[in-house]
Amino acid sequence: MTSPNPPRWITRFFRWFCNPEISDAIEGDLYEQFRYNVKYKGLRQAQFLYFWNVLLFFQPFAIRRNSEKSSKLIIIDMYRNYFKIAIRNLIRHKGISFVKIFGLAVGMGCTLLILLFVENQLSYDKDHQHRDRIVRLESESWVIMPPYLGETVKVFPEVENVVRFYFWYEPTLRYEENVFTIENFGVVDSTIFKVFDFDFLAGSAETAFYAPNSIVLTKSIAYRLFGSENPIGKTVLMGGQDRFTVTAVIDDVRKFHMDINGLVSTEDIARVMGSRDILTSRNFNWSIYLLLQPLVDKEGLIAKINERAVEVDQYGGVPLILRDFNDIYFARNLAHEKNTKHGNINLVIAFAAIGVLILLIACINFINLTIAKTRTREKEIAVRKVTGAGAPSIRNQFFGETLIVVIISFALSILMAYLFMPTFNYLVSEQLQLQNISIEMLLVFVGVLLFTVFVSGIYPSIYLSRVSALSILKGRFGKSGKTAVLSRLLISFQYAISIFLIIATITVNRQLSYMQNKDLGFSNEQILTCRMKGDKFASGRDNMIASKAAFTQRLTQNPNVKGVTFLNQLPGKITNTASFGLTEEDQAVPFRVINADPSFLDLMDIELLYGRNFSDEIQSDMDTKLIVNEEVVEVMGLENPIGTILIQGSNRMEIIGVVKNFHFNSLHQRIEPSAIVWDWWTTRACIKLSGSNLNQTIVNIDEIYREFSPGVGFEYDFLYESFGRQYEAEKRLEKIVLSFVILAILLSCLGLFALTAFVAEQKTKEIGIRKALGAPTTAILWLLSNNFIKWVLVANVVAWPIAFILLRNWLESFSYRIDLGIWVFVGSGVLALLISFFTMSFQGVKSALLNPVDSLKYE
Amino acid sequence: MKGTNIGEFEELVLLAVGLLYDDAYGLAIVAELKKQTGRNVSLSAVHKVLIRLEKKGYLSSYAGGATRERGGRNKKLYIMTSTGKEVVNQVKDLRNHMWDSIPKIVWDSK
Repeated sequence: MTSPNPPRWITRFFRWFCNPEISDAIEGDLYEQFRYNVKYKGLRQAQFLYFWNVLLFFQPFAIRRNSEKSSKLIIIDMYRNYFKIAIRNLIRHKGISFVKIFGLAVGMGCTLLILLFVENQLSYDKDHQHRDRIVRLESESWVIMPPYLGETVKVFPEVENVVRFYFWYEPTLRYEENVFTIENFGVVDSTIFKVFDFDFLAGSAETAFYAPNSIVLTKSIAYRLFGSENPIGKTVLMGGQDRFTVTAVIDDVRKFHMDINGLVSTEDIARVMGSRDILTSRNFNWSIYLLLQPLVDKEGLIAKINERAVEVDQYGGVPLILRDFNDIYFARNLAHEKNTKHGNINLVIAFAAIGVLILLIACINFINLTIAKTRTREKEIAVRKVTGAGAPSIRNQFFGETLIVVIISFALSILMAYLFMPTFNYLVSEQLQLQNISIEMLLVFVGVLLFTVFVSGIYPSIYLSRVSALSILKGRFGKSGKTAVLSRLLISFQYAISIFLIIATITVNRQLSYMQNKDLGFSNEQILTCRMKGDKFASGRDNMIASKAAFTQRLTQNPNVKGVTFLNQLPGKITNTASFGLTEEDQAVPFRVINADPSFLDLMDIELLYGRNFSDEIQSDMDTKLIVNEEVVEVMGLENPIGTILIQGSNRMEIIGVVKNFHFNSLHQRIEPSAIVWDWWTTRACIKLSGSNLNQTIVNIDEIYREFSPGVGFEYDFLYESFGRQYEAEKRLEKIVLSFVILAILLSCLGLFALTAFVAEQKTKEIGIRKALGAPTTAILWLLSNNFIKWVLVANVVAWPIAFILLRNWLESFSYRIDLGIWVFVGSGVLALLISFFTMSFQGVKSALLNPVDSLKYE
Repeated sequence: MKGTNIGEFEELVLLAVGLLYDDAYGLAIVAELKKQTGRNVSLSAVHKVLIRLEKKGYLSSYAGGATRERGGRNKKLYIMTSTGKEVVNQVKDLRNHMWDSIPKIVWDSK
């Protein structure tokens, strides 16, 4: 009889995994079943069923136990014991365990938040597949460009595509009853989606600007406008008259250096706007991005572009440059950008550094307390060793304990990060979310976690696994000072960090208040600024002069308005430059030029040193006369400045007055040679108000403004505020540093506190005996703290030079800065000492006041 | 009663062991359950329950009955222990008791 056998490999597989005690009987059953199936269901099916039934046996009840049952049980019992001991130890030393877990949780929570922030900042502009080939066309002095340069560069074969952005238009959109104005509305070339990648939720990159009068909206705008209806194909009324059809919806634009809420194409807007042609060469408002062919020599290209630009130009001959798209987000001090967000790479670095420091402090606490506690575990280790534990199993035990604590802390740190997320988001002005963390960052974080476990666990585990059981049991162990030195070293390191942070906080703080209180040379208080718009201020010299005079006259009827002056650029943002020389051949000196009028000096409280102000009576003062600052006199070496003729191109300008230097730009920059000229085409009104009833005055100004600039919303700002905004990065730095410094010091104190408490506990007997022999409380206090204080002093020595070098570098980024006073260093050291002393005396006094009878009864 | 609770499937297997008397082994029980209940039960499920019931002390086993069909391998034959029998009885009594306690009206109403 040649009936088939089941496939051998399946049988072998079965025998491999099955518990030998039952495998024989089951195999018999399987075999019998197979034979039966072959007979009634055919070979193939029988084979399949055989395989299937074998697989069904792959369950715990049938799987072979790997090693002998008994040894396995012992290992499990051992781990269970480790776990039990670990938990019992945590509970027994509640204070220390709290400090360990809480400290570590705070450290890890900070790291988590900081990682989120760093990731968020570094991920800006990264979602664009061509990002390495995209550049932005800028000039050396400013970012925005006239539109025709886009066309000029398009002809170069190196340039694959060009897209121009124009953010000036804030249209109202209407759909049925929903009407609102949308900001960050981009007028762009239809090539945008060939250069940049956006997430299309509906519609596609190809069809978005295919048809005329198309509009692309972001998700939230589409939702505001259409609610839950499908936006695609809907018609919106833009600016009250033009119909646009929604062709695509993109996801909200977040990690991009521009804020974008909606897009329409240049062609459509140019057609719709008709008379006010946005594409005229005078419209310096465009940001131009180029997508280059792969491997283009950028230096060569920009040289060619510059040559070409001079030929086509009208354009002022300021050299053009290409800025890599990847560099835009972290670029600093760019002038005249539209609608652009920037990150501060220094802030990111400072942040990461602080995060590392705090985690380090937490780790040190952890190590110190673990080492301190291991002293109480020596006997346990000795007994374990006597009963046969080897060094590896002791090591495992202590790593395991560390792991348990770290895992508890980790859970706590997530909770903390979650709770503090809103505060943190406010500090860094971002919208971070815990669940948005990326896989990479999570891996980094797990790395940090393992690092913590390793660093904190390695010392105790190695130290304890090496000790000899005999010496412990004989009571000889633990007299060596090695561990004590290590933990003191770590403490002083911890204090060095704290001292450094205190010095840094004080210095940043002083520099900021210095900048805010420095005599700027002009007054920016109570000055309201707004921009005049509309036909009356659009064209023609006479027209504009008349409008401004009328506007001024109407305003000054209000007794709370002290004066009005018109500028072309606001203080803090003066970028207009021109070069002046004494003769035509002379080497010209670049001046900052402020285009103003006669009331400017009075309104801003700028002191006139000699000469005279512009006069309304003297017509020739306009266009041909200059008022300069002291810096000009010094740089050009003018002995008798009044009446000197300066030459700028074909213009000859006469100096009629000299004013005291004033800080019109950020204090990061030096005072530059500056000139004030009287011009008629200035449109930024600066209105000086006087004290009382500010709101009423603003309402009044609003009314008058609407008369003169009908149909334009009244938007105003206060000069003091807009001027202060230049220091926003520093202010934020101050807040962040301050909050983390407090945290760091708190953590250090906590560690020290727990350690003193522990030492006091260890020395209970000694203290008792000393007291019994008549030692005063102060002596006991000294006994407990003198060692630590010595090491806190050492910490100063470490912290000072580092703080000095780093802070001097930071201060060098300011042209006007404070000196690093020695008292800051000494003060911080004393502060750290005082803090640590108070921390320790808290515990010290407690044990010093203990009745010696009680302490001697101990044990 | 506490501690002697058994599941429905366990009960079925226990009953099948009793029913098959001296030929109660894995595959035979599978066949019996198929015959009695119409369910397709896998061999592993039956073995799992058999092992569990043996551990609980309701069944005991002995080896025997190797045949050609089985490739010369022994069967693991099961018989009910006295506790096993007791459990089956208890289950039956419980059911009967509960069944008898159902008021007549339940059967009369549709």
